Amino acid sequence: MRASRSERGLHNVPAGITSFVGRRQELAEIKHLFSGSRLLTLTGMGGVGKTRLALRVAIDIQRAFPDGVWLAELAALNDPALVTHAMFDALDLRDQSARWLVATLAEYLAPKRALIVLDNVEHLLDACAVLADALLRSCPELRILVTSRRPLGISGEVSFTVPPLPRSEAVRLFAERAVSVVPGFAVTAENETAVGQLCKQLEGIPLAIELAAARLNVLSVEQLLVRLQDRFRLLTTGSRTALPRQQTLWRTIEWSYGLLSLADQMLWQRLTVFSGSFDLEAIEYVCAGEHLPTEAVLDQVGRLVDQSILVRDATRNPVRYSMLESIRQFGREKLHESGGADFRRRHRDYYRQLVMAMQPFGASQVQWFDRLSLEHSNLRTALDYCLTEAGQAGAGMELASALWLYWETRGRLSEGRRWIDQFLSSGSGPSAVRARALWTAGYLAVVQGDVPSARALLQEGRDLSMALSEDRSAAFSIHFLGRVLLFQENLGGSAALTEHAIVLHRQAGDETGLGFALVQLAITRCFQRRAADAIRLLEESADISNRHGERWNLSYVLWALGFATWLAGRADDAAELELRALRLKRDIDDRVGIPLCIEAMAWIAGSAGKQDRAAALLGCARSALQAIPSPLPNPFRTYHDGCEAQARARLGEMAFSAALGKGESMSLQEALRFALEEKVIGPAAETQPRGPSPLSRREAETASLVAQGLSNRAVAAKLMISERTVDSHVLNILNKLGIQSRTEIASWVIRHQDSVPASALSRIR
Amino acid sequence: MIPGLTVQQLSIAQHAMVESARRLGGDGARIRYIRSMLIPGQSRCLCLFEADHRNLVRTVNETAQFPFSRIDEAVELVTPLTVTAK
Repeated sequence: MRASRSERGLHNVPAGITSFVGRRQELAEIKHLFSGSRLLTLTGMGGVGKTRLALRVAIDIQRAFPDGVWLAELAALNDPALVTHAMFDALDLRDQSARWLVATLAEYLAPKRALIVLDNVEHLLDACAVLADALLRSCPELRILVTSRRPLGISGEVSFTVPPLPRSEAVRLFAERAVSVVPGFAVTAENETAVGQLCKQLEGIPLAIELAAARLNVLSVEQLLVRLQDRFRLLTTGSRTALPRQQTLWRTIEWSYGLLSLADQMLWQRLTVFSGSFDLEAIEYVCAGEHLPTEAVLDQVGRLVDQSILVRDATRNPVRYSMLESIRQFGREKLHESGGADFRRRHRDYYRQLVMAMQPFGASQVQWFDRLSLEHSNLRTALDYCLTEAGQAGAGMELASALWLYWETRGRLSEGRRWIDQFLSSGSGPSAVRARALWTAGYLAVVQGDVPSARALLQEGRDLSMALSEDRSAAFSIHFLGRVLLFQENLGGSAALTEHAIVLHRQAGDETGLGFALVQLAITRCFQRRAADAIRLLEESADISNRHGERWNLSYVLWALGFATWLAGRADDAAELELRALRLKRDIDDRVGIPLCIEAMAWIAGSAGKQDRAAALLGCARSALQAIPSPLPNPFRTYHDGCEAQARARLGEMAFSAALGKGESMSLQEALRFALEEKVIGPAAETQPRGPSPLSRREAETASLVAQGLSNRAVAAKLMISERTVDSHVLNILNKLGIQSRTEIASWVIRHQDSVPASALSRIR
Repeated sequence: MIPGLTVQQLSIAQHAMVESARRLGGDGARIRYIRSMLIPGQSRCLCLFEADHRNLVRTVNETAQFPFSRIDEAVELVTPLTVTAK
């Protein structure tokens, strides 16, 4: 899994494209064009290498962008309304508010000198054009590089048509690809003419050359040439109005398709129902059956990888696969010709089962959320199937509602609400599923701070739940109506509703709801200055979380316990609790909870007379909130304002501003390190003793670089070893540490910095 | 409901909606963005379009990534004062 975004550096562009061939002239021209324009679009047919060229340009010029180079891949996105969400993903922003996302993005980027690469936008041309136009108007230092089959068509845009490779570079590319299929392959006097003719036949189109080279495992260059020439005379597939080069690519793909067995062709077709990347388990569930035995799928996948139909990402564990867009489009047409609706349904069923099996209140909750993040494109596709296929709205509503904690924990509140709103307005009658969808949408709205919408949705959800005797949904509706009142600072009303919800959760035997509701009531009690009651409630909630091995709610318990303990006058204990809470929140990457913890630490530091630290922590919290982006909830303002006023008065305006600015200028990681500076050994450290590292020196070096957010390619470049070796080190690290994701590697490194050999650290600085 | 929307942001939104309407209009589809009114106290923004049908208004807003609660038909009345003055 991808490294935690909070651990990443200032770009997300895959570094070190080892297979980049030639294009020296194009690179120079593109850089020249970009020096005079803030929007450059690389146009050209599919397969001509637009993406690769754009990434190379981005890497080459990244030093000119101190605020980062960010890649947003849009090929798997179909809904134009979600383009901004994809940009949020790319920039590592979380969508925690109900604000207009474009404005939020523009505000975030306005002071920054950054480059955004929008890749594969032709199917979302209007939405991307409008967004790019809005951002460029608001952000004077921003530059945007686009790859698309057509230009965006907005003022200020400069476009560059990516040409096919000239003969010499086409031959080099063929030779490079050939070596990976036939080790030792070289262009010699004997085969030079055939290679040249082959590249000419393929018109220098990189994807066509790659597909042809993959066949060298069974054919010689001369045989390839003869067979391609024969096939090209016979094949007529593809639009007759398409440009000759597009026909060449299409025919090459068809030729490649024609060389596969019927079973492999079927698998290719069926794989096109996936979006983004996918793993073997999903392939077996969705694609096996009907002439494809499950036990044969693994070998078939191997063959499709060998033929460059599937791209294998070995940096993931389990390994994931994806398809280039031209390959996917071809397979999708073939699937359509053979009637493939059933495989879209099976795709939806697989992801529905995955979500329904999720244990959002259990020991593996964070792994589940990470897994769902990885499957986000496929979840969208499954939801889209429910929205567009007759009679599937109920299933879609159920799926979107079951993801409620995922929408929140991974900062996808607007998107979650959008799906549920669409299903709710699809005309379904009263049902238990609808009641659940109503409170889920209400919950997402209240977390966003959209109180009026939340209240309306939750009231409707409560009324429908009670009419249908849906006790669990009634409990959650009332529970979150209590939160609405809390945000409106109606403490008495909030406490009454939450107490009622607690009774209902107990009656329904729902410990998830009960654990959350106890924390909500405890926070209300804190604001009512009833710290002892709050502590009692939090202890019960902690027991529930511990019983389930759950960490998300537990992190809020610790945070609220720190707040209550501070109110009870035990500042030292409170500080220790906040440290434990913050460590836990860092482990689970809770971007909402992190600023809340840092904020509470500021209040505690201020009350202990550490005004300089308090002011800096307030700055850290402000910066962390802006990165979500979200305002501090209303009830906390009193404590925040009090802390700020006291620090300002004691330090004086100049010193206060300096300390505040120091905190505000910190990155999230710097803020975390600053806040955790005075380390107190907490449970995480106690349960994971710091013995000698189980990793070898090379693995430790790799782990440290992964923790810094580097891709395997970047790690390979940094350590001057092959990417394959890095793949192997990463798998060893995962196995030795018994963990499953890069996020967990980062967390492990941070917790075990002392046990990582100093030699490893010195080598990577 | 668009919490926190400022006048400056509304101006960005206007550009986005004008551009979106321009791109999506044509080919038999008629839509024109006319104006918006921001009510900061209620975090509410009313946007006026002239269009053949409401789905087009929906698409224009979605293309501009501008969130909306609902799309209603409206009738424009000329102010009596203007009529009298004439």
